[in-house]
Amino acid sequence: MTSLRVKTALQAAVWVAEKEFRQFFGGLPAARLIVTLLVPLLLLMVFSFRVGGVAPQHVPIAVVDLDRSSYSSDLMTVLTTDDRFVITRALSRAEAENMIRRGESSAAILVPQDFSKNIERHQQASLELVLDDSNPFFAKSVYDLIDDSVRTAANNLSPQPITAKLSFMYGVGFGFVDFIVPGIVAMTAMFGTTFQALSFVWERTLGTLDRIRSTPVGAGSIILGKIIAGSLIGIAQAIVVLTFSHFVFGAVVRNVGVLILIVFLVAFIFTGIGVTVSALVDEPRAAMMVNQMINWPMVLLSGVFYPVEALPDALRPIASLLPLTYAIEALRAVVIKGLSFGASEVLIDVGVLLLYAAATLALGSRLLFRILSR
Amino acid sequence: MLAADRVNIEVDEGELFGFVGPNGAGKTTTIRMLCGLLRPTSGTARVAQFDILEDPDQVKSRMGLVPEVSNIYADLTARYNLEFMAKMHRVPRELRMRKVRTLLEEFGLADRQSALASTFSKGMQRRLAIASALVHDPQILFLDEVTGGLDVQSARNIRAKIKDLNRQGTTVFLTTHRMHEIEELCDRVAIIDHGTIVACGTVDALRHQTEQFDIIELSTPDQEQLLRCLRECDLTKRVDLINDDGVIRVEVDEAERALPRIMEAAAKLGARVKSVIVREASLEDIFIKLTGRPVREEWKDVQVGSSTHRDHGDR
Repeated sequence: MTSLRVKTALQAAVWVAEKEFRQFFGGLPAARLIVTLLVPLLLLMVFSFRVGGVAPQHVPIAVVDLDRSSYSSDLMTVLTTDDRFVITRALSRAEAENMIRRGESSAAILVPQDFSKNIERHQQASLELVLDDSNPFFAKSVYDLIDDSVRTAANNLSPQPITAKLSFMYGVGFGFVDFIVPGIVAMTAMFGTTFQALSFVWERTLGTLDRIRSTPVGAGSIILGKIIAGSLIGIAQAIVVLTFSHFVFGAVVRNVGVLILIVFLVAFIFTGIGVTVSALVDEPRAAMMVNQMINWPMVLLSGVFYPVEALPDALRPIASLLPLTYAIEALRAVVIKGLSFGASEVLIDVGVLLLYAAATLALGSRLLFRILSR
Repeated sequence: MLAADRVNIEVDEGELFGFVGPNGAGKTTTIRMLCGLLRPTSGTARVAQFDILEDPDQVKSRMGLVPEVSNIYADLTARYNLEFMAKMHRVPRELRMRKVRTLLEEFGLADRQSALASTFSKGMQRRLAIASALVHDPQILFLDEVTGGLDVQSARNIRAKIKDLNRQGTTVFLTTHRMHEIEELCDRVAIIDHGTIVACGTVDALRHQTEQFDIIELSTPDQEQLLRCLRECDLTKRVDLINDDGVIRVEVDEAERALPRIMEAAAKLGARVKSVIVREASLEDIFIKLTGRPVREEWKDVQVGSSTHRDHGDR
């Protein structure tokens, strides 16, 4: 009896979702798609050209000295006394790379074994530089700083110029588009789904919600149907943005499966927020306004366009309260670093997102349920 | 504020019941409560044998609702509007297909079934709204101002359709403020005003009351003077200024006796009377007598409270 009830309720939810899809894709599908995808694509275009970086301070750097000569220790001294850096010594290349992977270092400088020998023989001496390019925005600035410092130090060491062999930790390089894509994907999912959830407000105004309510279909099915539709539409939009990023702008896209799962969580959370808003506000224009008030700070503070670390200290705690911050952090780890659920940083972010999803959904449906069943 | 207070009515199975009242009288509120869209603060009702509070789902699966505003999905096709409602009512697939097809044909929407409802005329949208309420063969149909805002021809078609449905056994609960609709369609009628029932009975019984008084309508540029004079006259039962055109509506027991006295008084005042219409009272006039307000939209300029002899002091 109960399982039959659940089955009919689920069936009704699927039908409500089907209706939502038809409404979304019916009417003026082309216009609607263009409108929803125009902004993210425009952003991609703009940001595929790199914008100016920030001047980082106290950049953590791992140094591996394989040479252990007076030359290399002179170089160390120069770097250590430069207060733009915080130098940590690592014993091997592998250890330095691990530090980068764990986010403890933004770069590693390797002094090769033949460093002093080459200087003494008046041959070309070179250093190796490994950059954390999970944040290209930052990477370029770090590179410029190190380049500057090493050049100064080298001038005192050798008449010959010392070159730095640059390599990137994740093979992303300085491409800003790679950095921005995860943010834009999350943002698109957010805008798409809240908008979808807000259709509740219209349905209340137009009386079509009464139409469904005059049938035996329960409030739970109506809400669930909206959520299914909202989430799937959010994912679809994210996939379109990803496809464009990859094939048109050449962005790196890894771990699509994990990525879609995170996007699904984003869609879920923002459907919950949209449902909450539509339960509290019963006038479409007011609902749109409230929605803007939630979404825009979210975009500006959660690191869509620049790393959260670049925010002023006062704003950082706010950023750490926003679900989108965790979503973008997780997406960057997945897309740029190629990490999966095995990595604790992804796992923590996803855990936080799950909590948010449960909380917003519970709140939204509770409020709306009260309205629907009064 | 109470929108509907102690509304107590009984509608028999198979009846075509009219529910009349001025705007804001509580008609829609009552219907919304009966359909389970609004919870009454106290009391309850039974629809199709089921209690609206205890078994709302049973009630909902046996009734159809057509609200005043056609709440169809304008961004969906006519066909899908019907299909969706049938799904919400859990009409089994095969029956659903058949029912949708029949309704599209019956309501003259078959050739536009794949068009979006937003492209429909008002009349077609209303037909679609009614058809949507019939996908599950409800025992009782609630129609709220179902011909409101429609042209004469569309309204006539819809009234014919309502009669058909009732003849086939559907109980119809209809609200309207068009008195002629009540006269044409309904078996019985309840009049609601300020949330309470002021009269309930067969249309014939109401009509019988119309024989008891006459209406005189005077057109005059000297409204103020004439109004004052008429209100003081002992043969007039109720005097209203209908609108700014200067038409004064006077309720009298017998026009033959009252008219000469009225004209005499007007002449004595020197008030000019441009035209006089004497007519038998209509259902509309009964309505004004009972509620102190007109039902028709176009009469909303009537200055309520301008009457002198209110003969229903029970409100």
